[in-house]
Amino acid sequence: MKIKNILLFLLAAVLVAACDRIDMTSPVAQFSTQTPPRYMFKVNLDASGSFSTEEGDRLEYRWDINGDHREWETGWLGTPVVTAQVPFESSGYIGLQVRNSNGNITELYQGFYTDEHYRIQNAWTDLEIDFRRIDYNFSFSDHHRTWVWAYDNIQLPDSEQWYNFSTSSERAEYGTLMPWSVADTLDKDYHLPSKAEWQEMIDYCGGSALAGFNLQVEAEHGLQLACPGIVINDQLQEHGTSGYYWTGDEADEASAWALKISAESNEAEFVILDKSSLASVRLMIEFFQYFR
Amino acid sequence: MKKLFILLALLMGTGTLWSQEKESILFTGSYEYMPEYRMQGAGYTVSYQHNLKPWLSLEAGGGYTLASRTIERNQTVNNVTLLDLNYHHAAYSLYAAPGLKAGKGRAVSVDLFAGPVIAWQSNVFDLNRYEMPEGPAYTGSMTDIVYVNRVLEGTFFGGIAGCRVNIRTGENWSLNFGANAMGIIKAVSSVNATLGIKYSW
Repeated sequence: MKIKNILLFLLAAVLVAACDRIDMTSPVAQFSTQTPPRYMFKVNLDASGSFSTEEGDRLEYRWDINGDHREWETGWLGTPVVTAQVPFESSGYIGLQVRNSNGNITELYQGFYTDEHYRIQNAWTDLEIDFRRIDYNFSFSDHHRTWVWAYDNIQLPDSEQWYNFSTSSERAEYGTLMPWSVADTLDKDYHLPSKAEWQEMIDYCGGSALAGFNLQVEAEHGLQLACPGIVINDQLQEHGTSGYYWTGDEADEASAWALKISAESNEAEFVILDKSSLASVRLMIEFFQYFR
Repeated sequence: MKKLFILLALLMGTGTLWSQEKESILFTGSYEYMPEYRMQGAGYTVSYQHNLKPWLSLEAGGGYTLASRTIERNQTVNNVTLLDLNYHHAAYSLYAAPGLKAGKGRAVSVDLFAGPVIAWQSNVFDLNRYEMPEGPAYTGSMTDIVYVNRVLEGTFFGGIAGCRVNIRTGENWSLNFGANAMGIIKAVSSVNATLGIKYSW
């Protein structure tokens, strides 16, 4: 009887010792931003490069966007892309955890540099009311590029040809809404940005899906576009909800392209407006300095 | 070799009674295999045996084991270089077990034993280790190599059962070899092949 018990115990011990092999892999986590991160701008954090070493494994993702190692700013998400506002003024870390279906987690913190090379100063022009300009500086191996944008909406003195807001604070914030023909001939140096130049600014601001937000956000290095609305048939419309900014590109003889942003949307889009519509204006210019 | 077999056969056949030992000390070295994690290693055990009856003994012992495993990978997937994974195991264990003896006092005897075990284990299992690809200029990593492991450490309980064949080599000395299985609940279990010596008095 005792031998039987001992043999049973022996069998049980062998069974415990030889139980199923345990799955011990965790996923590979990697991520980046889809566009260069800039302070207070929204970016898409993309972890789609992460993968499991097990075929058919389903991954989940969660993010420590401010990199404080305390709380996860998102829950477990089934999709690898999340939109977040960059919280670092110059540099910081963003954390990602990737979990596989066995519950194994890989954690990755990655640093991001958000330094911007810009300068804000007065733009001296022929216009009666001056505006500020922001100079973005880019250095390349053989040249230096200064990309200059008006930092304020262009203001013009009162006239029946265009629309000015009644208070000085509104004028400072919204500028003047003017027809395309006026906007296109304001200054001999600064010009209306073309559609392509606006597109470059949209790309700088994270692409069409996020530029609507990033062009408006109150970050010093951003254009901080306002939403004055538009005047059509002498009626101010969409005031406070949308902004229309002329491009230098005509759609046809009677209409031209404009950039549209909305207070409630992350997106920026191009629309065609009748040239007689009164819309906002930002001007730009750029300089190149080549090294010999 | 032939002489050795003849000597062994004589020893077994005669069933010579040697000393009437009551107590024994065993020192055993072992090869360890952990089937769950496929680690291999070695260890040793020191145990004390007290014989209550010719067919029954009580034994208690303690030991130390080390084991490891390397999983070779060295492959690149999605620009990520997957590096080798390593498992490491170290454990102290104490056990107490009643044992049944067959052939006590003869040249060759067999012990069967089974009993509880308390073990302190430290296990480190690599879950992943990979080298990150170079990112855009605006990114920086704390480290180029991402390392994830699972540490399983603490005191665990379980059981041991095994058998041992003793071959007497002198008045008080014998050689033994055997096998046992140590099942540890919620930690690393092992099967072991053992080889040792025993001193009895």
